[in-house]
Amino acid sequence: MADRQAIENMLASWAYGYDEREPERMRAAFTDDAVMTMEIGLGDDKELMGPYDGIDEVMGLFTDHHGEQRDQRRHVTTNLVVLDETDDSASIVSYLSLFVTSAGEVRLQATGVYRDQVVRIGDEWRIRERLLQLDVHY
Amino acid sequence: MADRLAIENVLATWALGYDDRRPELMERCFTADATMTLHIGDETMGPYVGRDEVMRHFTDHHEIQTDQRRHVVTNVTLELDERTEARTTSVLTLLVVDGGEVRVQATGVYRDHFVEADGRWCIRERVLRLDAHY
Repeated sequence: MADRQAIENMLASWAYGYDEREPERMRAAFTDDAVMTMEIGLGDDKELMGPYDGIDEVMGLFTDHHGEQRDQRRHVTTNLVVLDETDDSASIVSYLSLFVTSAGEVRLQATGVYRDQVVRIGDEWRIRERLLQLDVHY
Repeated sequence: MADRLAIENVLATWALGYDDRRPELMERCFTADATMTLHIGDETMGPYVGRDEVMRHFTDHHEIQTDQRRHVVTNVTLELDERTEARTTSVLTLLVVDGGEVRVQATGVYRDHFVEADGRWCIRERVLRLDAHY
């Protein structure tokens, strides 16, 4: 059975790493062969970004955005669902509520759903495949 | 702790089922004899009696709602009555995306009575008190 607590910790750790601009913490949430894809928007107007193939490309996506974003982001991660699982892998879903603080104002920027394939490597759980479906632009 | 984690998974599975419009995910969260009641201010909807009626309430709303909803569920409290029964509260923050805009539509509290059978936790009784209309 997958370790739900360890998986929750890993998801929150990635969010903390992004929001606090700690690349090593983000990197630790993914496998070396990780693949990440983003869909933005609903219905027929979806924009596709990626797939970003391998940890270097995935990290490039994050750090490039850090270079552009001057605001403070909080990736609030909730609603973890473990769908299919073995001792060493799981298909999981979690919700993102993205809050952005800029010029003293906080706003709810976007909502979305992470659909992840995670694997256990030693004592740690990591994301091997991530699809982020954002309902609106981030 | 294992019970809590399993129950949290059920709460989030229902939300995902509703928001993804996957009835089979919602259905597995309720017992066959489940009941559900909604309170919104002075208005009461239900009780809906039996899983079929409860499910119809959800699927009828899917027909009406053309927006994208996100039922964000947090703040789970749990009291285990016995090894096979539990009472939980959880907070709902209902986010709605429509026309490229996201808004906080409503907040509320779920009060759920869970029962465990054959290794699975399911909701037998759900009461949702919404602070504003959904």
